[in-house]
Formats: sequence, structure tokens, C-alpha cells
Amino acid sequence: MRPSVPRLANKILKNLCDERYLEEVQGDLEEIFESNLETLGRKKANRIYWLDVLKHIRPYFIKKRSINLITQNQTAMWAIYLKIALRNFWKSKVVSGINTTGLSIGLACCIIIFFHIKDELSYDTFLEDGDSIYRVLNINPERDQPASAGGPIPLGPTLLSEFSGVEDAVRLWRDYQPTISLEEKVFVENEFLFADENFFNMFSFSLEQGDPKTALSQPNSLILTNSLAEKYFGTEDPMGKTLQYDGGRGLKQLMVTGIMNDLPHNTHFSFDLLASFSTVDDQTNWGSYKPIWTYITLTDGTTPDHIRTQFPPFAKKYAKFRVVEYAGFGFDLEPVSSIYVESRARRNMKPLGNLQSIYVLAAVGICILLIACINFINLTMANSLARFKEVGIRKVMGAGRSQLIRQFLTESGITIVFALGVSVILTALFLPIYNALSGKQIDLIYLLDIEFVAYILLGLVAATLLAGLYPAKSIASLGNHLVVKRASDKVGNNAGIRKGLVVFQFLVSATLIIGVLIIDQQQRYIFSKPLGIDKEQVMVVPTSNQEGAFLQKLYSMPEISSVGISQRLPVNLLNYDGRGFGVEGLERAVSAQSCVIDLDFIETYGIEIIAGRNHFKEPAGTWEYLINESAVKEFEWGTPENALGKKIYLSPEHGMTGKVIGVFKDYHLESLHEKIPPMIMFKNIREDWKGWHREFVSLKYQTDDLLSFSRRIEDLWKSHNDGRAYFSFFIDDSYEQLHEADGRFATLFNYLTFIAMFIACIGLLGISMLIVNQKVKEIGIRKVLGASALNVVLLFSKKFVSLVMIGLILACPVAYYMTERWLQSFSYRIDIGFMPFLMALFILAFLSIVTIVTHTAKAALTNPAESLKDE
Amino acid sequence: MKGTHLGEFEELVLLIIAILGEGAYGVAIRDELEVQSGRKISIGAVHAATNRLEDKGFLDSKFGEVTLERGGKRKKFYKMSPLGERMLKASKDLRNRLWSRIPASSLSINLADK
Repeated sequence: MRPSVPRLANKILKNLCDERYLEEVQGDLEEIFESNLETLGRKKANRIYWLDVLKHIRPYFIKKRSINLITQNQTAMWAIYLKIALRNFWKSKVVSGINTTGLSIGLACCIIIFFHIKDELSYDTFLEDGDSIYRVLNINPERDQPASAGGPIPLGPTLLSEFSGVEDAVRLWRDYQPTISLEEKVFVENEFLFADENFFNMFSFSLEQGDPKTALSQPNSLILTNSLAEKYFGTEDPMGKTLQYDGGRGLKQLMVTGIMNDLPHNTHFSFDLLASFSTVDDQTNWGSYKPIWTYITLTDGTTPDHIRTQFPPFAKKYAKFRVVEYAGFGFDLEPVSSIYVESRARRNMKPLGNLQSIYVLAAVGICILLIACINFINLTMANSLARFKEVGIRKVMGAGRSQLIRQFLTESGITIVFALGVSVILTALFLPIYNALSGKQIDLIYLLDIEFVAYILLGLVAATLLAGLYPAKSIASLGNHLVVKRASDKVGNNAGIRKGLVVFQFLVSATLIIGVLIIDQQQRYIFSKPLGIDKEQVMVVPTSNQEGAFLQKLYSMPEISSVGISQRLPVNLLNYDGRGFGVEGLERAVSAQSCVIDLDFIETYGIEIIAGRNHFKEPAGTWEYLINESAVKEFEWGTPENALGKKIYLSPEHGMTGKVIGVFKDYHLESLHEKIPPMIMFKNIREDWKGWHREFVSLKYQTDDLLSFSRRIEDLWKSHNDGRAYFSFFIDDSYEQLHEADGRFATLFNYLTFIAMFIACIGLLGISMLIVNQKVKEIGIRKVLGASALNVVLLFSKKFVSLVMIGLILACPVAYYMTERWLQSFSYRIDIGFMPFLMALFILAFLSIVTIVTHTAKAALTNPAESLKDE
Repeated sequence: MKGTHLGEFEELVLLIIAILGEGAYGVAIRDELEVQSGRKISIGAVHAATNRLEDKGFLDSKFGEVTLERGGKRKKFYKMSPLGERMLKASKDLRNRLWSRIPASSLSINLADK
């Protein structure tokens, strides 16, 4: 057969072109098409036909429509639609109840999630020129591992002096928990940073008091946030006063030169105190990575890529770590404005968000709303059975299809507006709880946000159409004869779609349940995984001035079983010291976390030695090193036993070359997302280096009266340290903090899943109720013919339970894929087993059976005489 | 009555219809126009012109027979109406008058060649 003219184009022409011209135009166009077909081929002929049709769309040819319709009184009809919609809303209370409950909860979830995501995306957007400030990252070009945000001390100034295109550089150095004191007021400050003097030049934070240009220019200057100033000085004016600092840089008196507002919560920065960077004495060490963040701005016209190309030769120049070149030394840039959501770098000032969890939340929110919409569609469809007569009469009286659609849409609109109102109230009620759960500070005032209101109105229209259009269209398009007749055959056709929707609902619910179970498993794994250290009953206090006497007293206390001294504590994030150095038998340099320890550090934390010894031979005057299993692997030394006696050139120019005397078992010092890094521990044997790092005293104790014990320790310490500030903390608290974000995500996910499940179940309840109500007579007849109540219940439950099961089976691969992706963010993780899937099966089967059976059973137990008495 | 003005393109279409005589319908008009003028002309333009000319009363039309061609659609044949002929004549007279007024010296081409 000859190909015919493009159907769609022809249809458009038919619809638009006035009758008077249609035949001529169509004929001519077709003739042209036919001749083009022979000469130019199908494709071209089609295209020309389309073009010709489009060229005919001009006012002259377009149908002059009759304008009669507009003159009909539509406003009066809208009033009727509204009245009927309201009547129906009240009449079918169960259906409206389920619809509004589901929709309002779904909407409230979406609103809260919307705020959550908006808040996540708002991080650092308040910074002026945030797009042109870059954070310098440390990367290891040799291998594929996450970048680290911390860098060597001289990085910033060196970039500024040696790179073309760098306009400014600012360093921020976190000092690990210094004690800050003003006479009797002593606090351990977690948020203490040293900052370069041009900090306020680069970042648009403003000072409430003090001059931003000079506040950080002198050594020993200090800027406080408002709340800190109040904490120390109350109502007094803090400017020009001094606070005592006792931390990683020794004992110093810092003068307050500025007061700034507290940081907003939506920034990746985290500090309460800023001290001038010039307070730090040693600023030259390239070989050590510390919690120092370097930020740079570029001159006009310089691209980040231009800077990136300068990094490799630069890294080579400064990577000459003692004996061998270190190839694992490289840098990269990331814009400040995208750090919070996009950065994958480790060691940030505070935990960052991530895009993945934003996507997950958005997806879950949309799924919940979809489930609610599906309830709505299903219930409206099922409930409309009762309204076939109404629709039929309307049609007979002359209602057009579009009028019926309008009426049903009004009804959906009413329900949705009502649900929206309820959801705003729900949001208001649950926001405080949500804030507590998520650690966010979302204010109710956001509800008045213009953007939000716009989204809500858009969502309202979308939801009305999404949930209302399908039922409205299918009811309105029923033929008149079907409508007046009993129309159950027609509804039987729709049941296919309804089943599909139920399957989808339970697919989503099952995916979420499996997700919850697996997240929960991983969460439990995190908290039960042996860390490799014993963090219970260890108390940490500062080192003492009169060390010998203090330690002797400690040893004499019966409660204390061992005492360890260390530069860093086994569990914490931002007190690290990464070093690059050479080792025996390797051409390349390696990097490892280093820690200076003394006394019985190893015993105090119960760290297991798997080869060699843990006792340093004093006073041999040689450097002796303990390394962990990961280091053995990293240094390519084979077995732990083999590693013993191998040489490490930690810092040959300082004479720090020594031998490995022991290997200890790997232990975690960061969250389980991170791999355990190679570690090296050693004792400082140079008396004159005593002051070059800060130390902590860890006490392993055994006591029933912790309060009096810690008071005695405090008194003891104070008696040896006049004028110094005391602090103490327990090591097991710090570990919990490492997984705070994971814990929050898990709780949030739990709640959302519960909500999704709940909405899906009430939907199932509603639909089974409607179906059973329609089949009351069928049940009656079945019973008369000898079916038992159990038979009937089974018969009706079977259908629904099988739908739920299909949903579950389809959910398995989806859930597997998604949870596997999530688990990949952990270096230490569970393997996905069968259990979560079986559990989900059990839970869903149980819930759906309970939901369906409760109602079916009622119908099944009714005396058939009751249900059939009308016949 | 819609205006009696005769546009340039409309005049061309009228002339072509006069040339074609019996066989003047959409596609034929377009093809002849393209041949004579050497321009590419869209069928839509032709339709617009013919229908407008008919509205103005310069053209008469009748439908042809149903054939197997053209998807069974009839051709619409146009014929110049007496009013159309007069309009064309008036237009030609006007032009001739204007041409004859042009002094030979103001033209660089030789009119006598024509």
C-alpha cells in the first residue's frame, strides 16, 4: 500500500481548518505529498507536508468557532459543583477520612522534606563571592581515595607567593579542645580556630566590635562570638580583656580584639573563637598534615584549572620528604559554595551533608505522596460505583463529558485543599519534633516564604490533576447505557489498573521496609563492632606541670589500674597528624597517622599487640616504633612478625630513624565510613622536645563512686598546677558523636517508612472495605450455599495478599540495589543477607492480612439472612 | 464587500489563472507561478490568495470530479470573474499610463527593446 500522509499533521489540519477550505487544502496538500513521495522519498515528503500544514495555520483558514458556550452561566454551575462536592465529602466519611489523612500526612512529609532540602542547599550561600573562593584539598594522585581537607601548615602563604593567579589565601587551624579560662571560669572549647589576618577580607562575616582589618593581625589576638563573650564576660565589655589559653600551642594569654555574631547554622564553618594565626610559633613544617584548612581566591580571569595545572610541579618541589620522593602528594580545589552538599573530602570542620541523602529523602517524600495519591485514585474509583446512577441521570439530563470531569475535579480539589490545610497544621505540630530529630533549625516562618507558597499552589494543582483526572475521566466517559444499568462490568475493567496501583504502593512500602531493616542492621553493626580498643572506664585529664609527682600520686590510687600519656586520643576526628616518610625496603614514601605516646597507653586502651613488644626500652636513646596492621600492609612488609626490626626514617634530619618493635591490631579512630589508616606510635626520647605537642593523660579506672573519684582526681591535679585550667572527659562519649549523622539519617528514614506503610495500609483497608461492601450479597449467597466464614475470608484476602506479595517481590531488587549503594559509603559494613527480605515479607504479609481480614471477617460472619433480606 | 484592492501577489495569481484557463486549481497555480516567476512559493500562500480573491469576487470556482488521486478529494477549479477581468484591465491600464509618462532619459535600460 502507498504510504499515506502524516496522520497527526492531517488531524491537526482537520481540527483547525475551516470546513470551507478544508477539502481544497487537504486535496492539494495530498497531491503535492504524492508527487513528492515519488521524487523525494518518504521522509522528505512527510516533512514538506508538515511544513505546509503549519503554514496553513493562519487566522484566515482557522475555524471560526461558535461562541455560544461562553454565554452559558458557568459560574452558577461551579457553585453547584462545589455544593455537591461538599455534600459528597461529608456523605462518604470513611473514604474522605482516609483520603484526607493519607494526603495530609503525605503533604506534611513533603513540606518538611522540602524545607529540609532547601536548608541543605542554602549552606554557605550567604557568603559573598562564595563561588570564587576555593578550598584547597589534599589528594593522593597515586591512588583513588577520598581527598582530605586538612593540609600542611605553610601551604596557604606558599600558594600565594609562588602561584600566578592566586589573589589571597587564608588558613584556619583547629586547635584540639584547648581550655580557655578567665579566673574561675574554665571551659574546654571544641570550636577554637587559628585564622590568618585576612580572614574577614575573604569571607563576608562582619565584626560587631573591633576592626576586621586589624583584629587578627597581632599575635595572641582573639575574636569571640557573641554567645562566647557572654559566657565568659557576661554583660561586661570584653574588648581588650585577656583570656588564658592552654592547648596545643602551649600556655598563652590572648587578648580579645573583636566580637562577631554567632555563625549561622547553614555554613560549613564551625568556630566560636578565632585566634590570630601568628600566635602559632612553628609555621614551616611541610611533612605533617594537620586540621588546617586553606582557602584561596583567584585573580580576575583565572580559572581553577589554571591553578590545578600548577599543582603537580609545586607538589614535587615540596614533597621531598627526607629520603625519598613522595608521589602521593597532590592538591585539588573545590568552590566553597558547594562544599556542604558536594564535597567528598574527609576531615571537615563539621560533618557535611551529601547529595545522596538529599536524593533519598526527596525520593521517599515523593513516594509517600504518590502512595497517598494512589489511595485517592483507588478509593475514588471504587467509591464511584455508588455514584453510577447519579452520573447516568446527569448525562440523561444533558451534562456533557467536560462538565462531569469538572464536577469530579472539583470534588478532588475540595479533598486536596482540605488535606493541604490539615497538612500545614501537621507541619506546624511536627516541625519541633523534626528539628530535634534532624538537628536542623527549621522555623515555622518558612511557611510564609513566597517560593514555598508558589510551590504549594503548583503542587495543589498538580495533585488535583494527578489524583483527580483519571477517576474523573473514566467515570465521565462511561456510556449512558452502562451508567444507568449496573455498571460493574465496566468497573471490572478498571480493576486492572487499580491492582497495578496497589502493587506499586506495596512495592514502595516494601522497598522502604527492607531499607529500614538493612540500615538498622548496619547501625547495630556500627555500635557493636569491636573497635579494637576498650573505651569503657577511661577518663582523660590534661598533663601536669609537676609530672613526676602527679603521676606517682595517680599510681598510688587503688582505683587506677593504668595510666597512659598520648598526643592524640584514640577516638576523635580533628586531632590528627598525618606524616609522610620513608621506610626500609620501599622506594616510595608512605604516609601514616602519627601519635606520640608514653607510659602504659597501650594497656590503658586495651590495644592488642600481635607481634613484638609494646614496652619501649628506656633509656637506650634510640627511636622505637609501634605500627598497626594497616601500616604493615601499606609498607609492604608482609606479616607482622616480618615487620619487626624494620627501619623507619620518620625524620632523619632530626635523628628520628628507628626500628619497629611491635605491631598492634588495627583499631578505629574515625567513623566506620573511613578505612583504618596506617598508624605509627612512638615515644618521644628528646627531653628538649617536650613542649612541641600537647598531651593528654588517660586513666583506666575501676570505681563504684565515679563522682568522688573524679573530684579527687581534679583536686590532685589542681594541687600540682597552680593557675592552669582543668578539664576531664570520658572517652566513650566521643565515639557516639562520630556516627551522629548516620543515626539521624536512620531515625528519619524509620519514621518516613512508618508513615509510608501506614498510608498504604489505610488505603488497603479502605479499598477492601469498599469491595466487601459491594459483595455483601455474594458473600451471603456463598454462605447459604455452604461456604464457611473461613472460606469467605480466604477468598477475599487471597486477592489482596497476592497483590501485596507481587509488590514485595518486585521490591527486592530495587531495595537491594539502593541499600547496596548506601552501604558502599561505609568502609566497614554488613553484607546484605536474606533476613531483611524475609522479615519484610513477614511484616507486610502480617499487616496486610490483619488489615484485610478484620473487615472481611465482619462481612463473612454476618448472617446471610441479613444481607439477602432485600432480595 | 471586502476591499477591492488588488495586491501584487494577488495580481500574479489572477494572471496565472487566466493563463491556465480550464485547469486552474491550487497545485497547478502554484507550479505555474513557480515556473513563471522563478520563486519558491508555498501552497499556503496560493490558497490564501485564491480564497481571498474569491471573497472579493474576482474569482469564481467550482469543484471537479472525485478521482482516486488526492485521497479522493476534489480539485477546486478557479475561473476569472468579469469583475476580476475588469480589475486586471484597470491595473494594466494604470501601469501603462505610468510607464508612458516616464521620460526616456531617466531610465538606463532601453524600453524599446521590450
